[in-house]
Amino acid sequence: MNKAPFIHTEKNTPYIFLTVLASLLPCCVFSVFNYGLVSIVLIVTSVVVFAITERIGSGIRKDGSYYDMSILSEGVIFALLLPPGTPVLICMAGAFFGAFICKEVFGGSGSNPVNPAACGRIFVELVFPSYVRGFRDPGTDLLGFSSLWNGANVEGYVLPDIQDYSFAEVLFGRYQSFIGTGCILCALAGLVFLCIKKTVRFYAPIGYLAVVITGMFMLDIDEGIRVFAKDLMSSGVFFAAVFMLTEPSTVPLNSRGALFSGVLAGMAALLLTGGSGAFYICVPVLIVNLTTYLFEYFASLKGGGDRS
Amino acid sequence: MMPKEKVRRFVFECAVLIVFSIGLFILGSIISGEKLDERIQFIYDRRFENVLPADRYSEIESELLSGYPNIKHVYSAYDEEGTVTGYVLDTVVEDDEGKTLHILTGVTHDGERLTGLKHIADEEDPIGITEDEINAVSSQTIGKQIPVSLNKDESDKDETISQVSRIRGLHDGIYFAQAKNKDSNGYIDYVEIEVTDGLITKVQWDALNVDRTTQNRREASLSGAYTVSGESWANQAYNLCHAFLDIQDPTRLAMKSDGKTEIIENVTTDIRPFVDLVEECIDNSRAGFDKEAYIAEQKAVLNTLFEGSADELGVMTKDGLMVYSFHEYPNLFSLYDENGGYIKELTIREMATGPDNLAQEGYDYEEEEITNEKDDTYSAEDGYIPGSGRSIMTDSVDGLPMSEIRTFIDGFGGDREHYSYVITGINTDYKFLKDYLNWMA
Repeated sequence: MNKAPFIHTEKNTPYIFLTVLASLLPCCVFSVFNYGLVSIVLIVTSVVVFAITERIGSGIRKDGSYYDMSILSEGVIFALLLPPGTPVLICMAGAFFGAFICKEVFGGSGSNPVNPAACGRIFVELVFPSYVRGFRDPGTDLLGFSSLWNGANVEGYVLPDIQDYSFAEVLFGRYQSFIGTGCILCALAGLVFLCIKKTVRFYAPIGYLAVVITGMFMLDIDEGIRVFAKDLMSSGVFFAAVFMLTEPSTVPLNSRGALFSGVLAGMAALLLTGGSGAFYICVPVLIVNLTTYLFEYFASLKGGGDRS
Repeated sequence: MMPKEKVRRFVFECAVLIVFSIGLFILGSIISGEKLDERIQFIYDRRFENVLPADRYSEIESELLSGYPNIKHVYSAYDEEGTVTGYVLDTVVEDDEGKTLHILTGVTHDGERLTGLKHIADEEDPIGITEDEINAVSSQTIGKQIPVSLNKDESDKDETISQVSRIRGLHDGIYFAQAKNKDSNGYIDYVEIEVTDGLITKVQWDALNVDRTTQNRREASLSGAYTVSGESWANQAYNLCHAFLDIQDPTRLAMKSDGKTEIIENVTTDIRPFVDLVEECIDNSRAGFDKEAYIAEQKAVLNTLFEGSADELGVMTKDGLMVYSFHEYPNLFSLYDENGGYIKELTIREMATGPDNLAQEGYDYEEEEITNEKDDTYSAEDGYIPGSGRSIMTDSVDGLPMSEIRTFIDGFGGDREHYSYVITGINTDYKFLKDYLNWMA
């Protein structure tokens, strides 16, 4: 028999992550339509590796077979942060690192100090940089899969300037990007879905987006509103805000702490402007994750904050 | 566990999300679809306009590229009517230390001429070439035929001491021998050697076709019209001539009964025509029967068959060589004794000077230590170099025989090594296009 207390609520942890998973559907659909077979393989591979790794970790810890679905959403998020030319082995390596080192080692679901997807993505960016540069135009070579084994031919390739794309292309994610972060409308659709379901809290994303949008506007204002809009839409900040800064176990639960950590993440993102897209998206998330305990501690000292 | 009603509702919501996403994708495709191609062409145009201006470009996906790791991307360029006007090649040349040079080259549709050259300064660890050096190469190569080589630098003229085995009794001069009959492809082989100070210093092996509209064998081989197993015939002929100049003696080429040799790398063709003709050239040299005399005798033989001179019969090339196969007159060169018994086949020289035993005598050798400048002896060995008399740096460039090099440039100013990287890039592109166009044909 399980121990008390017995809490009955519709919005339990599996349900929360199920809604997060559902909110990722628009990004997944877009990635499949834009990049075809490789997108499906990368998403499935990542999810399977995350799931198997959790199963192994759970077996090692002998803590039963508790599934909160978080591992699935993290697997999807990790895959969506990869460029279409990523070899499947690199995807597996990043997924394993994220799931095992960043989650299972610390006790599995709910105990991870940092976002496994962000951590896995930074890992492959640092260790296999040349394998995560395989960008290509959406809608091309949908059935091609050679890059899954050999990686993409990236030598001498220059990523086109986002300002060379039309406004419509950037708005609808028809430019070279990670497989799932390109379309801002998909991220916003996910946001709307999560708002309707009321399963996540948006204090950290609000603080993060407020700083990033303001900072980006100030940086781009001299070049015009279109430059600013394209930079903002293609930056992936909405993807990070909606799907990565809302994870309950790695973001401060109290509203003020979450807001401040979001602001901190936004400032970090501004400092990383112009760098690798993976760092730009993932490092601020990790900063929020790593400061979570600090903000939680101060909140507990004051006894304030909404900890519901 | 969620109640069934909840599950059903959740599935419905997911379906709505998917339908919404598909609708969004279709809308996005409609709105931005045309823009994609426009933008790609705009980017290509901006990158390639100085290399090969065109109406539109498209990237070539060819399996041949796997054999050319230095070539990263190849694009076809088209005019308004959709005709291919040339190719743009994106090439990265790497040195021994891993430093790289990234260049774009434009080449005409036939793979013959360079239309443009541009340095893409995005290397992580560049070799350090300057724009002046790039401009120096560009100014001497754009519009010119490829492949390309650097002219020899005075400082490269090393004096070397070599042990040379030479055939005794060779007279200095240019000597020539030509097959009397055409082969199955209509080609009549010929060999020409040049003897200087008793050493064979140049040798050329080629073949003329009885069909005067057909290219000679070397040109046909380079253009892909004439193919043999293994490397191109021109390359094999080059390697054979190179080896012959080193050893000076055709009997040391180790020709087997099937006409093949195994001692020369990448030579798989039948070398018997070469061996026979070079032996005849050596005998001509020993007899002092030079090229001029040889061709004069060829004409005389023809005159005995036909009324009118060889020039009137239209069998002379503009280079003064005769293109006629005597296969219809099998006994023309046969020597018989008084009783009508067959003795031997006479050479052109023997037709002029009477039978001799030079071919049966074999060669007498002498070993000699000589001091010379590398290029004076071993450079343009297998043919005529355009603008002959110009010294060259090595006897092959980027795996291409010197006979294939079409343009020679000076490396004025800057680092000669830097020029060689650019040239390697251009020559690599040439080799790829030669393969690609040959494959296309």
